[in-house]
Amino acid sequence: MTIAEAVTTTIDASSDSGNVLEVENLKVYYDTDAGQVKAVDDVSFTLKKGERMGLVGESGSGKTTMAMALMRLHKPPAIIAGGRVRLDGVSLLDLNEDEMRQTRLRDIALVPQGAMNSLNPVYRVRDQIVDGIKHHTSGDEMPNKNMLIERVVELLNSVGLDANVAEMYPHELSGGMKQRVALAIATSLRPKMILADEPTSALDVVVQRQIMLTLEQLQQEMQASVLLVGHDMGLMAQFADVLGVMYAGHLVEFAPIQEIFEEPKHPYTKKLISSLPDIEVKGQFTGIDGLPPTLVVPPPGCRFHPRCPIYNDDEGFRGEFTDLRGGLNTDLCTTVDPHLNEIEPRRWVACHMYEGSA
Amino acid sequence: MATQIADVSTPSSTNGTDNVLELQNVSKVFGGGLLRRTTTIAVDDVSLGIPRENPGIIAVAGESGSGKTTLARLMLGIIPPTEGAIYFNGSDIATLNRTDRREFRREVQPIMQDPFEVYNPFYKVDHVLMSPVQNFGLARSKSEARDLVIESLETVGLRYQETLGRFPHQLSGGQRQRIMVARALLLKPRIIVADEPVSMVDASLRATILGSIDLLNKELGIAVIYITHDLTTAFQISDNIIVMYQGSVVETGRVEDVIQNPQHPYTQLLVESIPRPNPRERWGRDMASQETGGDMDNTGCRFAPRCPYVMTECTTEMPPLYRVGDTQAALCYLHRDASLGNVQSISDVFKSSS
Repeated sequence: MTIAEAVTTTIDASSDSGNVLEVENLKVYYDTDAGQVKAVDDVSFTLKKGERMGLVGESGSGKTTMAMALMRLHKPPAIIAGGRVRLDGVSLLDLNEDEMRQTRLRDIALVPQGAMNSLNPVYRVRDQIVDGIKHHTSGDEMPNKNMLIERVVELLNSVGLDANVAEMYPHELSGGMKQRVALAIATSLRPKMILADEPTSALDVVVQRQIMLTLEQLQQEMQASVLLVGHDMGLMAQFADVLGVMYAGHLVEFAPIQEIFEEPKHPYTKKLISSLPDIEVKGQFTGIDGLPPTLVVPPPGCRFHPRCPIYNDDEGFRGEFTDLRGGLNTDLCTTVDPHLNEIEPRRWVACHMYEGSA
Repeated sequence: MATQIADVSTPSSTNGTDNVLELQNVSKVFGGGLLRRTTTIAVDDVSLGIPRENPGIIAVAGESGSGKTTLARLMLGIIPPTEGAIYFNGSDIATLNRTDRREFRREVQPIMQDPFEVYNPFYKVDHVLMSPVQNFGLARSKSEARDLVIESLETVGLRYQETLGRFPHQLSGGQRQRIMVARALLLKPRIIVADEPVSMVDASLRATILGSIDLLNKELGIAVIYITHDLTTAFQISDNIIVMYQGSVVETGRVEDVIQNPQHPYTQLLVESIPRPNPRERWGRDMASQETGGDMDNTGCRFAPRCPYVMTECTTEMPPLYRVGDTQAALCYLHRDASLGNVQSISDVFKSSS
């Protein structure tokens, strides 16, 4: 019942596993003049029905590229170079364009980053919601006009907006209201999976909390799964059940949210958590030295090793890693790209320190 | 100089000599003219002094539309106040002569939000560092100019070998932002006004950039005005804080007091809404009092339409800034009875950073 199935077997782990989304060795590459950029390289994970997953990483880590590729909304020069994506047992990468269009919104829906730009400024809110429903519903399932109008009102109410918002244009709405409309559109066909790419990055904290709580409420009511992509670990702590951490195109850690915050396994995750300021103790947040690598020529071995406090033997960092560091063959760090292994139930990490315990 | 501070009827702390920069009852109104209903009070009656000695870091926090950026632009002299006056070394900045204005421009330096927009993509980053050196005649020779630039880059933790001679797009956002800090530093200003300097960079770099800003204050005694929407970083680096809502300063004082024990209902809502990086402390599900908006004709407290504790007087008359502790004040009638008096200048409740 865990992500083990997706990683270790290639045989169809069908929907009775409880998994809604299964991503297996997904590779998304960009062909550029400078060479091939492996933006998403061999990423695997699974998501259960009704589960909320967070995906964090620095800019350029590949998190948005991966999310877009799941819906096949990646843009050239990005190509899916390999792997599988199964939504409720259906292999999305094998669908034709028309089938994929039907799947979007109906089965997997996107809440875009900055709804400001995703709504069409010359259409009323009502028409944009209706448009979505019409475009992604096949002939015989198409609701009639009265049903559509009812549905629009119902959807607006479900995201905390008045029915009269239906007659408004996007410019008449505040940022928070626009994001609510985006939520209404994304949930209009009750999808199995909602993909939210930094849905609140342009909003104030108070509005952010409202939007996230609204999303959570809708998701629970529909029992949909959510993949929330972002860089704000605070937001992840508030929202996610499980968290994936991406670094330089790889998924380096995947675990339940409390465990990852309380006992991060990967040195990068640990660094990421200690870079978070809080409002309890002053002066207790530190940066991560160095910069993320270029993905045209990633560092050999583990991509994090040039910045890794364990590899570089930063005494002040060791702490609970002391024993593990003792058993680490650091030659591996510079030569072998570590594999994502399940070292404890539902605790996945890609780091040579844990190689023996896998 | 041109203006006599003594002529202005102002409270105690303001005699123009302790303070490098001083705002006296400054308001900024946008729009309006003949059409009264369309005016926006972006900054409403702010008095504040920035001391010459141990100025510390002052955070100005608020959501979009709170007036925090307008306040920054007023302090930088980019826009004039509609009412009140701003004094630099005792002189009204509206009436500075050419020489003094030039000095003001050098002494009060901005660091802007998006470091990419500041750069001209066709010039190497050297340009952005060299031009202030030339404009303000900071160096006598080219090699002296270069030494100055290198020194300031090193102060913010950048190696000149990895920065000079490059184009803006060849540097990361964090590097570009640190170059802006280095640039501000070159001019050895007295005050730096940093408007959301880390909102565009990754969390892993935030600490480093904030660290270099903190250094400017602690090592070089430069006053820093840190404009932000992020209360956690404000808590981390500043000594005192000003919380704004729709142009009003709703709460102010020592940052620990204001953030850990907020007294204004709006500050309470803001602090509650921070996404705390702890999965065991999740947001309350309480969705009350959260809709924005409100009545533009409201002559009282701007927060009244959203406030869970609203009383009759709140909607008719703006409350004064009540002192609620040695180093804390709140613009709210809830504190009328227990108040320790009214605060005239915001900096009266600031904790000294020394």
